[in-house]
Amino acid sequence: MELLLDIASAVLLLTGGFFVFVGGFGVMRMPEFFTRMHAASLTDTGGAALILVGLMLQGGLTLVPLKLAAIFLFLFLTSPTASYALANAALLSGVKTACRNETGTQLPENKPVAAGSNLTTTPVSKVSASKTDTDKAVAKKTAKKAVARKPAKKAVKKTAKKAARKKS
Amino acid sequence: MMTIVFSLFLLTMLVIVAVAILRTDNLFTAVMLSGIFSLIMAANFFILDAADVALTEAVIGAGISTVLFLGALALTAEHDRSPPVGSWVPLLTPSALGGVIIFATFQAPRLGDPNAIVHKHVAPWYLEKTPELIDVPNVVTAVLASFRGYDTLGEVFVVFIACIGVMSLLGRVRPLRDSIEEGEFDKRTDNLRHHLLPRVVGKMLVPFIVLFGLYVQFHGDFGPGGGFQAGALIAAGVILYSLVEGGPRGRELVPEWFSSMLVALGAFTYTSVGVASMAMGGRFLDYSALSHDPVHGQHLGILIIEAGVGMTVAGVMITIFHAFSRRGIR
Repeated sequence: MELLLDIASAVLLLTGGFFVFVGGFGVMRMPEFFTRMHAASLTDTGGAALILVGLMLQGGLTLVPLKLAAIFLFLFLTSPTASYALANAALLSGVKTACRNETGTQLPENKPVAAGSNLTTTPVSKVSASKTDTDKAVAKKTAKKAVARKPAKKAVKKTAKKAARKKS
Repeated sequence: MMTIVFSLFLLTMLVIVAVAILRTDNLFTAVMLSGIFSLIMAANFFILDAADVALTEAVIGAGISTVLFLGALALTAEHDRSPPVGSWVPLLTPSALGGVIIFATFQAPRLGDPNAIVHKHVAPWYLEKTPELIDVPNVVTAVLASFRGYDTLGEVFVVFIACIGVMSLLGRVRPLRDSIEEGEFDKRTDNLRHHLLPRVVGKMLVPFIVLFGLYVQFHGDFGPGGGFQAGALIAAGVILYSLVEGGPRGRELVPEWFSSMLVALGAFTYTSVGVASMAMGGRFLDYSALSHDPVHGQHLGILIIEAGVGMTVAGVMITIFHAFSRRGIR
């Protein structure tokens, strides 16, 4: 029984740690404010919850799990609220999302753009036009990388411009 | 070993955050970073086994002072004016001072060294005599409230005087409520009433924060905590309510006459305990005279003066916050 509890709590702790790590990774890698916040907020709540439950299993029949449960409840309420408030404040103060590219490739396939209409300003017709069957495979590939690649592309362009200037 | 790794990590973070505060010219960012700085500092204090200080730092440094800074920021511009460049003197002074401090640390005793001077002076006496003379588990409370009662009285009066100073700077402005109607009132004041989620969750948390504050207040003899922390926590609850519902509604919950009266009342309570102990045949702030049993007298005295400290601290925080939020409207 003890062993089972230990294994369960170890699994929970490791998963929680993984969540938090992925969240941190997302904050580093995502291109702009809203996607970064998405990465941070979801994994933060989930990861903290998993870690706390894992710690509760280690606590045994004492007051410790109760205290941890209180922290759990507190975090479970406040963390998403804070994320909501942050996103709302960003939206109201006019932070623009960068999740908008001409082909609309970051949207899920086979779904109308309306589902993600707050993410993009691209008209529907344009998107569907670009998604011919031959394009589909390419689109899928770029969809995965579009988010991460965008700043890199800019940087490349910039350096290319600089080089051109130097030459001239 | 783990402690050292954690300390190293936290201290490194501290330096990074401090440099970031210096480098940013956006004051809003600087305020947020200073909150993070305080939070890291609180974790550091906790690692050094100073739970009471950690609690204070977390509540006041990371919580209330951030809000007060934001309140001050609402009255000024968001961006720092670019500082004058070209003089080497400002760089020279702190580096010389920093060099001296770093040089001094070579002479300092190692962390946790039992032979360090601070552990040889009065600390052993406190540790030895507390169970006998005062009989509370938390020695920090015993030292703060009883052995060093004079110092704490001085601190309470420092807070009291600081409040008077801030209030005389910020002044009193006529409240908004009288002149306008309800709907206009909600529109004119900066509150979060139209944001459902923060409003609901924030209001839900207020009673729990105040309850925790009361726990910290009355459990201070047994665990970390006491009047300073509890006062700040209760004030944090009231401030959260004011943030969510808007300053004017916060001023209806805890009116300004009440919070400023609380400031004076706390200092008065503390002092009157000292006078009472004199009247009952002891010396000033000698709680043993308060009851037939000296230890009981100590318990009673500590309870009352901690309540006084809590009242003053909570009153000061709420008063200053109200003063800021009242200025922010216009």
